[in-house]
This record gives sequence, structure tokens and C-alpha cells, in this order.
Amino acid sequence: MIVYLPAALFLLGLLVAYGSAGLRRQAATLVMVLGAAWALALLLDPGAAAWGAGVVLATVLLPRPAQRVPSTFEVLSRRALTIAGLMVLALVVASQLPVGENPLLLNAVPWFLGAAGTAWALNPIDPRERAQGHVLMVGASGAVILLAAPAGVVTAAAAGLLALVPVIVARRWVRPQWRRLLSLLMLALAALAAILALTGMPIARQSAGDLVFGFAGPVLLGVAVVLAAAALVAPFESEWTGILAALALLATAPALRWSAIAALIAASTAVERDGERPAWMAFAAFGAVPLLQGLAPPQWSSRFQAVALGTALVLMLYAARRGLFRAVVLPATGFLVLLAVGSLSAGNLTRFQWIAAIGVLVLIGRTILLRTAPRSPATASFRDPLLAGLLLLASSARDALGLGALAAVLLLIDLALVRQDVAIQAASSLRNRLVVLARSNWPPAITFAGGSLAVIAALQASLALGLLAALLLAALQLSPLLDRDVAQREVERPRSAWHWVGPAIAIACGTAPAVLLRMLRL
Amino acid sequence: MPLAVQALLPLAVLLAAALAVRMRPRQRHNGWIATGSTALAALIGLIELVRLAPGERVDVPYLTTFPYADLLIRLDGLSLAFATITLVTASLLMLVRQQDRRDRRDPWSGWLLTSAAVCALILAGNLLLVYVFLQVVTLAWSGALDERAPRRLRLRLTLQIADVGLLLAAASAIQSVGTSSFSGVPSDTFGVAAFWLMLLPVVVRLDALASAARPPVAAVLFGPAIAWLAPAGYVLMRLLALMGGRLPDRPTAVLLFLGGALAALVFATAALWMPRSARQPSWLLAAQAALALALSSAGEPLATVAAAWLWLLLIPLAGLVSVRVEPRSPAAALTRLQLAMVPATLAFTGLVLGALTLNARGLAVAIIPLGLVVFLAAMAVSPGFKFPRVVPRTASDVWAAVLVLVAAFPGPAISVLVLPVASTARPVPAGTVSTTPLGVQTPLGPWPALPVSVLVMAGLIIASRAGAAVPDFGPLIRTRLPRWRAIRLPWRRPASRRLAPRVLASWWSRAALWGGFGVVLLIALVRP
Repeated sequence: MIVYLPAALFLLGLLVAYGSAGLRRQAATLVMVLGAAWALALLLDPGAAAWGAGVVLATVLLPRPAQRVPSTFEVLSRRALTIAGLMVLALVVASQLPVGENPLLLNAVPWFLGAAGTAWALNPIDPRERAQGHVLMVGASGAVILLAAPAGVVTAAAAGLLALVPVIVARRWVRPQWRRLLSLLMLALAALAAILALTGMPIARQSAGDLVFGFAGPVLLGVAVVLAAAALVAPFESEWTGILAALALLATAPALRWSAIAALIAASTAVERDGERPAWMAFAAFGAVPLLQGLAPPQWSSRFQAVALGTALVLMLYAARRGLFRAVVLPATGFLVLLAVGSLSAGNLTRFQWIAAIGVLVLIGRTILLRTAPRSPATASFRDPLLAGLLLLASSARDALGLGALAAVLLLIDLALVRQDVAIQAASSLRNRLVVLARSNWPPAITFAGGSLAVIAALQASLALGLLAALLLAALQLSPLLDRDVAQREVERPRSAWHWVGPAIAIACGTAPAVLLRMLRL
Repeated sequence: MPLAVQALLPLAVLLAAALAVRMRPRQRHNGWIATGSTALAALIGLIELVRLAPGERVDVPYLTTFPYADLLIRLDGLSLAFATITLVTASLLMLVRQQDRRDRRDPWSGWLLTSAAVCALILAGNLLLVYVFLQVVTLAWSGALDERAPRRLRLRLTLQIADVGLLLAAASAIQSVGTSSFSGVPSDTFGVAAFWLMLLPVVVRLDALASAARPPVAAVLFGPAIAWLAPAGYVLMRLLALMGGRLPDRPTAVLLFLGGALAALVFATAALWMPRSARQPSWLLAAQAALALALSSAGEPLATVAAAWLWLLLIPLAGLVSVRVEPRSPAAALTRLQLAMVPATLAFTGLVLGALTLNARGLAVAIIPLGLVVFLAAMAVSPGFKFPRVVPRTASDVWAAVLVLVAAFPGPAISVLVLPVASTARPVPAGTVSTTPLGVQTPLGPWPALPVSVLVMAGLIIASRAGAAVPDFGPLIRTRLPRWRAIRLPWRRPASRRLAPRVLASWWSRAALWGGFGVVLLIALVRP
């Protein structure tokens, strides 16, 4: 009987939360979280319940107003249908991915928590409920992945603590006056990571209790890229999220890694809501990879993982149009995909390549549809989906010398660091000429290097992929002509004295990609 | 001096000069700095060419900054000859420009950078590096750092897109043999598809020569000879060298010959059809380039020599055409003579060598289109052609006169420049072509260039002194050809209205897009 108590507690808390306001609702939410923590303790081991500490703290820090928010019949109906549908979906998924011989209702509790958080984030009655939804989503992602890949107390607690990120964003705890210092620190760390990657020195895994950090393969280069991108081009006052991205790359425990990504997405959507839903869908697909690895039957697990990985990358590229998604989330998830692609079997790699190829067509097709829509201003540029398409093909071209990975890294840096938003007069100064060159398709711009290497790598994978990559590269040359009428986007970040640093890094990478190949440590 | 330094000398001289003129903008002597440095770089190239042993090829590696595009300089007859003649032409263009006091613009750093980029392209030692430098040449020549700049936008984009063909060919070489370096690629690496892909940059640049080369409003146009024709000719000869002097198969050779001959006929006909058009010289130049392309398809050593002669000497001729000259000056008359492709011209020498080859192979019928092109070109140039009375005075006059002398005395050019190029492209047995004071001697027949040149020039001078202009046969031909009428479309698309059908704008289209994605996901899941 005791095994059904966490589910009962959770459902009770959910009902009270929906039917009340103020402190009572907050207490009910806490009960939901405690139910999930208890379920984890029963499913795994008592130490896993440490996960709940962070989520509880985050919930305490998000008080509810005492008055109920008035709403209409349509809103209530929509909310009811949403939570019901998501709960059913959670139950179905939990039934397909059971943990041992445990009852279904016990298995389903962490999934229920995620469903509740998703429902509140999808149809919030006010911004605080949306933030609470993000807290539960981040927390639930850690809990669910812990089921598939159990970890120690410290790791579980760290994964749970990441649920505080939406609270930090909502309450703006990072002060503007810390921004410059933080940016400088992150740039210094990025430089250090790059130098370490370049030396090729083997670095053993570092641990703090059961929390382990790895530095193998492209991790160090990835850390350098996300920290630099966050410091230089992330939207104002969001630079600190680079630390989350670095944590996601360095952590070896899947629960901590993917909780960090979920926290990053939650922080991004607090600033910019464009692309929110596809980003969360991409996260769900990413999260499916460790879940399937740990819980699914082996006969079909590997193929589902490959498909999930490909789908996740396509959706993330679809979502990462601007803001923090493009500057930080995309490079972080891109590097994680590169880490994962290396372990795919030949058959699963072919699946991934198929999805990459169709993803290219989807991204470009979407842009064509947006540009041909009547009476709408041209806001979708062709350049971004073409670069995204080349990135997809490069990621899927796993060649012996690592050219595909190198091309993917170059294109990730291009998409993250090189901004196309601010109009600049080319002839006005040397710095501006540098920026204009970095944005172009000429050598030694990073776009040129990444595109050329993507074609070479794709041709190594197959003739069809190579020809598709060549077509994309040829179309990329046309993008300045096609994008002439694209409406200027609003500036995401005030122009600073350092606006040339990102383009300079991009040009340096485009001039000497062989150096980056060494830093990839393949 | 270490070879690694020697190989870099021409580039170093050009880049140093570019830096020097950049640091002292709008100074009077910048033109002389540019001209002198380019001439010096050409001289260095010539010295290295002369010092190179016959058939010798040297690869000088530096470092690897771009995977598979190692910074590698290739010193062989082909690269050094093309570098020499290109830089000589560039320095002559700069000299002519320097002498024009009417134009106050400061083009020197751009021209020096373009020359350096072309020199780097010609000296590059692997295909991927050639592709990179083709892009650099386009950037340097156009100066369009901002790709949205409207100046020559379509031409730039066309060149950039066509160059992707070379990238694909390099990628296929890397996939097959693990490298795109010239010394590492066996001659059977490239098939038919790769050949046509590598031909794309050549064809597009020749088309640019015909359609985009405008009559020089300024004193000098630098692009056509240096940025378009020289890289096109070099890439084609290098392509032949990589394939061992032979095309992948016979149908490809036939297609290339027919295509080149047909293009030459079209250009020559266009030149005849519109004799007063300012683009007539460009069309005639493109016709000569198309003939060179056609002769490049023949796999015989003498034909390769003929193609090498045409490609090399087209570069200074294209430079001369890119210069604005006085209408009745010696340069104008001699340029028109060269474009007419009559005996005593550079093109005719190459065509004779090619015709001898075709005749020896039993393909005499293939000589007919070549002869027809020469006839049409002569007709196109004929109206009112007269030899001027004045002696050469300006740099362009001397330049034109030198080209006539080269046509009359082809020996030095063949020995020093043409044979190294041809023997790099394919083995040229000793005795295939030998030079005498009177002309060229081959086992298939002689070409008495000097007597023919003397006769033709004497005839033209006598006729001009007698007051006779060359009769214009053009109207006779033009009246017999149908007139082209412009076709007017009954409907003009409004500029602001999008053409997309409604279905593309509806949610059905998005659903179909994502539905297709889902179907492929399912297929990927269930496939074994």
C-alpha cells in the first residue's frame, strides 16, 4: 500500500493546487514535489530524495497571490483539458518505460510532476504560474532521468537545485552591476578552456563526492564556445546562463546534464518566447536518449535513440532563431549531439542522416512558406536555415578525420557568435570591416570554412548528402541577394566596445580551422 | 636562398607593395610602385621558370591551417608560366593606367591585391586551395566586402556558385585518394562528372568575359584579363595536367570540342551582327577563348601545345582589349587585327597548330568550324579597318606592337612559356614542335609565321597608304539572316505582388511539411 502513497499525495496536491490560491496553493505544490521525492526514494534509493530539496526551495521562493486570478469558461476548459491530456500522456509513457517491477502509479509520479509543470507553462493564468511551471519542468526532467540513470546524493541534489534557475530569472537576482565582472570572468575561463583544449593534455575526470566532471573529446572546446558566446552576444543580463551551459557539457551524469539544459531553456524563454514550444519539444527528444538507454528494451532502444537525437537537433535548430536560444542553448546542445553521434552504430547513423536530410528540407521549406505568405513582412532570412541545414549534414557525416565534427563546430560558432542584426557601414572603420567580413561568405569568414568542410564531410558520408550540402552552399551564396528585403530585427544587445571581439574570434576560427580540429580532441 | 623563401617571393613583393600604397594613399608615385613591384614579381617568376629543369615539379609546403588545403606552393612549368604572363599583363595595365592623367582614382592597392590573389591561385598546390583562392580573387577584384553591395552583384554570385563545382571535385578527390594535392592525385581519379564540375568555373568566367566585360569607361579595366581569363585558362590547363592530358572518355572530348566550337561561332556571329556594339571586342575575345577550349579537348601533344599557346597569349590580348585607346591609334588598329584572327595574329598561329593535329588524325572536317570562326571574326572587324600612319607612342601602342612581333616570331614564346605549360599538362615528345627564325616546325607540317606576318602586314600597310579601306562584307551577310524581334509578354508581373499560390500560404502547407517530416521519422524507425 505504501507504494501508492506518493501518487495519492501528488494527486491530492494537484487537485488542491488547481482549486485554491495563495498559501494553500503553494503548500499544495510543495506536497506535489514531496510526493515526487518520496517516489524517487522508493524507486531508487533514499539518497535520491535529495533531489527534492532544490525544487522545494524554488517553490517556497515563488509565492502565490492570495486572490484567485479571475478567468473565463474557455480558459478553465483549456486548462482542464491540457492537464488531463498531459497526465494521460505521462501515464502512457511511464507504462512503456517502467523502473524494475514497481507499480505503474509509483513509476508515473515523476512523470506526473513534469506533466503538471508543462500544463502550467503552456496555459498559465499569470507569469508566476508560468515560472512555477518551469520550476516543475526543470525539476521533473532531473527526476525522470534519475530513474533511467541513477546517481548519488550530491548529483541528485545538484540536479534538483537547478530548479532554482527560473526563480533567479523571475526575481532578477543577478544584478546588472555584476554583469561586466561576470562577462570578464567567463571570457577568461573560455580562454583557459581553449588553451587546455589546444595543448591536448589529457585531463582526468574530476569529482566532488559523486559529482563527476569529464573533459574528454570536444567538451573543453564546447565550454569555451558557450562561455564566450554568453559573455559576448547573449541578451543583456543573461550572460550568466553560460555557466549553466558549461555545466551541462562538463557533467557526466545525465540527470545533471539534462537538468542544466532544461534550466537553460527555461531561462531563455523567460527572456524570449519565440521558439519556446519547439525548444521544449526538442528537449523532450533529447531527454528521450538517456531514458531509452536506461529503461527501454534493448531490441528497439538504439534505433529510437538515433531517431530521437536527430529529431531533437532538427527541432532545436528550428527553435533557435534568436536570443539566448541561438547564443547559448544551440551551441550547448550542438556539442552534446556531437558527443552522442560518435557512439551510434552504422545503421543508426544512417537513420540519423535521413532525419538530417529531411530536416534540411523542412527548415528551408518553412522559410519559403514564411516568405511567400501574403501581407506579411519578410522577417525570415534564408541564411539561417541554410546554415542550419549545413550543420545538420555536417553533424551526421561521421568521417574518420573528424571533418564533419569540425564543420559542425564552425557552423555552431557562426550561428552563435556572428550577429546579423545591426546594420554596419563597411567602409567606416577597420573594426566595422572586420564585422562585415565575419558576416559574409568570403574566406576567411567562418561561414566559408564551415560550409566548405561540411560539403567535403558530407560527400565522405554519401554522394546524396554531398550533393545536398553543395546545393546548400551554392544557395548560401545567394542569400545576400534573397535577404536584401528582410526586415531589420530589433537589436538584442546594446552595442559595446567589444562588439568586434565575436567577429574577430569567428574570423580566426575560419582562418585556421585546423587549430579547432586539434582542440576537438577526436 | 632557401626554396621556401624563393617560392614566396612574388607574393611577398606584391603584398609588400599593396601595404606600402595603402599606408600612403593618393600619393603620386603609388602607380609606379605598383607597376614596378608587379613587374618585379613577374621577373622573379620568369627567372624561376627559366631555372626550372624541363619536366621538374617542386612542391613547397608551409603549414596546415585548413584541413586538406595545406599551404603548399607548386612550382612547375604550368604555374610559373601562367604567373609570369599574368603578372606581366597586370604590370602593363598598371603602366597604362599610370600614364592616364585624367583619372584621379586610386586603384593601386585593389589591383595589387587582385594580382597577389591570382598569383596565389596559380601557385597553389592543391585543388581545395585553388577553390579558396578563386573566392579570394573574386573578393579582391570586386572589392565587395559587403555581399549586398549592388556593384556586379549577379556576376559575383554566379562566380561564387560556379566555383562550388571545383569544391565538389576536390571533395571527391579527398574521398577517393585522401588528398587533393596535385602531386598526390593519380590521373584516373576524376571521372566524367568530376570533370564537368571542374569545368564550371572555367565556363562561367569565359561567359563573364563575353557578357559582363563592358567597354572601358575608365582608362583600364583590370578584371577581365587578370581576374577572369587568367584563372580560367590556368584552371583548365591544370585540370588537363591532373588528368594526364586526356579527357575521361571520347564522348566528353567530342562534346567539349563541339561546345567550344559552337560557342565560338555564336560569339563571332554576334560580333558580326552588331559591329557597332561596344561589346564587340569582348565577343571576339570570348570566341578565341572558346576555340582554345575546343582545342584543349584533343588529346594529342601538338594540340596541347596549341591550346597552351592560345590560353597564355589570350591574357595579354585581353589586357589590351581592356584598355581605352584612341580610335585611330596603332593600338586600336593592331588590337582589331588580333581580334580578327587572320594570319599574322596570335590566334591564327594556335589555330594552325590545332588544324595540323586534327588533319593528321583524320578529322579534317573539324577544321571547318574553326575556319568559319576566323572568317566571321575577320568580317566583323573589317568595316573601315585601316592601318594608322603614326608610329607607336604610348604604352598600349608598344604593347600591341609587341604582340604582333610575338606572332611573327613565335619561337621565344614557345620555348620559354608554351612548352613548359604543355609538357606539364601532358608528356610532349621531343620534336613535337621546334622553332626556327622563320616560324614553327612540326612533324605534321610547318608554320612559316614570319613570312606570313610580313606579307599580311605589308599588304595591310600598302592598302592603307593607297587609301583603300577593307571592304565591309558584313551587310551582305546580315541582310540574309532573319531579324530577331523582341517578344513582348502580354502581362507584366506587379513588383509588389507575391506569386505564391494561396495553398502555400495556408496552414495546409505547414501541416504537409511537418507531416512529411513525421513520415520520414516513422520510416527511419521501422527500417531494418
